[in-house]
Amino acid sequence: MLIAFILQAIGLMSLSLSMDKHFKAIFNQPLNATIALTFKTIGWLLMMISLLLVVQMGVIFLLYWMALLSFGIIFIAISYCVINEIT
Amino acid sequence: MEWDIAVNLRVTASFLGVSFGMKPDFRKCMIWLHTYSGLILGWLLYAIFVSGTLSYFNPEISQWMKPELNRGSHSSELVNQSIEYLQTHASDAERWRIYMPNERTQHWKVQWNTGRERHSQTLNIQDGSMIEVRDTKGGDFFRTFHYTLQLRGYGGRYIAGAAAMLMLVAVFSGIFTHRRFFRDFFTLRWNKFSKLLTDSHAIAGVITLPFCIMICTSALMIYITMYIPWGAEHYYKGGQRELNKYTIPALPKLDKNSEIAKKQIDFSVLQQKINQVWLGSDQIDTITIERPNREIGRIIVSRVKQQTLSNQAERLVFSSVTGQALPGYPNNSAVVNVRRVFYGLHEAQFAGTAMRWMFFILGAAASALIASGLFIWLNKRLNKTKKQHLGHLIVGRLNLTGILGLLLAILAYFQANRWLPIDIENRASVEIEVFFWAWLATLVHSLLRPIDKAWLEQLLAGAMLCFSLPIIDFSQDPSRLLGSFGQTNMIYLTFNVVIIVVGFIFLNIALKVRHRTNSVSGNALC
Repeated sequence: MLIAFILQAIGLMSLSLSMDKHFKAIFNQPLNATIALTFKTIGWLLMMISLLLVVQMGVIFLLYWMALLSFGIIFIAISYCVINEIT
Repeated sequence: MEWDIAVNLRVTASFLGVSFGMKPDFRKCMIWLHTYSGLILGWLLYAIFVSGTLSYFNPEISQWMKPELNRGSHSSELVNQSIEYLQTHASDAERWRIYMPNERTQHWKVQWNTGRERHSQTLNIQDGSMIEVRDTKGGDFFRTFHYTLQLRGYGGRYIAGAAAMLMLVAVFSGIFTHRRFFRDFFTLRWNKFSKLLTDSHAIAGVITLPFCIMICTSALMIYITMYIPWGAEHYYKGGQRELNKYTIPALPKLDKNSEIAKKQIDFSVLQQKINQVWLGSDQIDTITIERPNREIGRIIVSRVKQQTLSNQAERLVFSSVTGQALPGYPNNSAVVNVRRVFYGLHEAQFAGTAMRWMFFILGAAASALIASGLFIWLNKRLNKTKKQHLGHLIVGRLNLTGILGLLLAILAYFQANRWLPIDIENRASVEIEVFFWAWLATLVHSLLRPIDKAWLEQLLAGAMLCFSLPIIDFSQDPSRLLGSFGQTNMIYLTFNVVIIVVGFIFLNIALKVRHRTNSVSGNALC
């Protein structure tokens, strides 16, 4: 179960990095199309894999997955907020 | 303002124009729909969501509000002790019911019915003696309030159902209204108040989207025959009642005048049988014994709901004389099962502690979503105009009463639980009256004071209520808190910690509000 949620978190992270605004905040340089595409593919792929893992485990875990998805999004939003504050 | 009305009228016209084949501006319609469905029912929805969110911890809140309850290790003797108690006090009752204590309730209760009268008695987990628990609704108040609005019999459930439907409307139209949220995904800017408002509204909307849809849909499903009664009325003479009779599985009725039994089965025999079917410890939630001491008597054992998404617990039926397994409840039809699963999802009885907190936080986020939406409405309009008019005044006041005032009223309810004398009559309903009077008081206060001052004062009052609650609890009976340390009663401790954290949040916001009013003259806080 832990693996599934770590995959989900990394997936969300790389999805956020495929967006210009957030890429700039981390790497301090504009994002080009190929890198964006790479991040996007990796992100969606990891999310899919983690979803598949969770579905196999049972319904309750699917609920956990949905809930943790929400927490992942808010966590990443707050961390970008903090990063922008520092730099 | 006239301009505003003109725009609204035009948008309304274009909204209606959909059916006439005109080409409406779809997004404008959606914005209009989102704005006004949100504004009209915002405060009601907020109250429903806050009290509903608290209901996730209903047994825990009840446990805190009934400090007389004792904690203890549950032995397997509890059932036999209960039966012994019932045998001496209620041997001629028509039905006995035993509520087994669990980690969350810590409440061991026996109940018996003779004729139409129902009696119940709480027992001490440690030694089986009787204890008098203070008369309070506990967390059940929030649970009933969030779907009846304390208006049961006056259409409260219809209002709540309409609110749930409009919440769904607001959620879906919100997707079109805040279409920038895809571009601003993972973005939160807290330098500017208005930016923070819209960002947090969008983020709260995104993260609670599945939660809100699930909660509102399942809420409608619970009373589906009430909200869509026409099918039942068409096919059954008695309407919903008769439909329920057909769809809710029941056991055959027992003959009232059956012979008196010479002896009853010892429950430990049944316990062994149950343990073989339901694996795991402490699987029994309630035990119902119908027609005790009669030849025909039967025992219905229902399981805890941690193993199932449905809100219908698994049940086993035995004869109370021979101990033989009787044919159980007939199976539900698929349709009934679907409703039961929606019901179960709504109540989340299956959730363990971690999952429960997740639901709680999502519920709080959904409440924040509604509250921030109400702020945005006012903030946007006040930024555009210099002159306030009556509508702004009313919304500003209702924002304060609806959003902060409700929380103060809840705290007043908790305070009343500790302050009111134990032996007054109708204590439980007096507690609820305190809740509503406190809420009214915040409304009056918000009308009498300038809006900034009112916010500041109510926030400070809230912080004071929060901080004083554990202190009062401790000064009334130090053994409660000390005892919960000794027994590591996490529920009692967590309640106090959460209250103190909420107090600090109030204080923090109060400081921010004061800072704003000092730096910006005039209406700083919408």
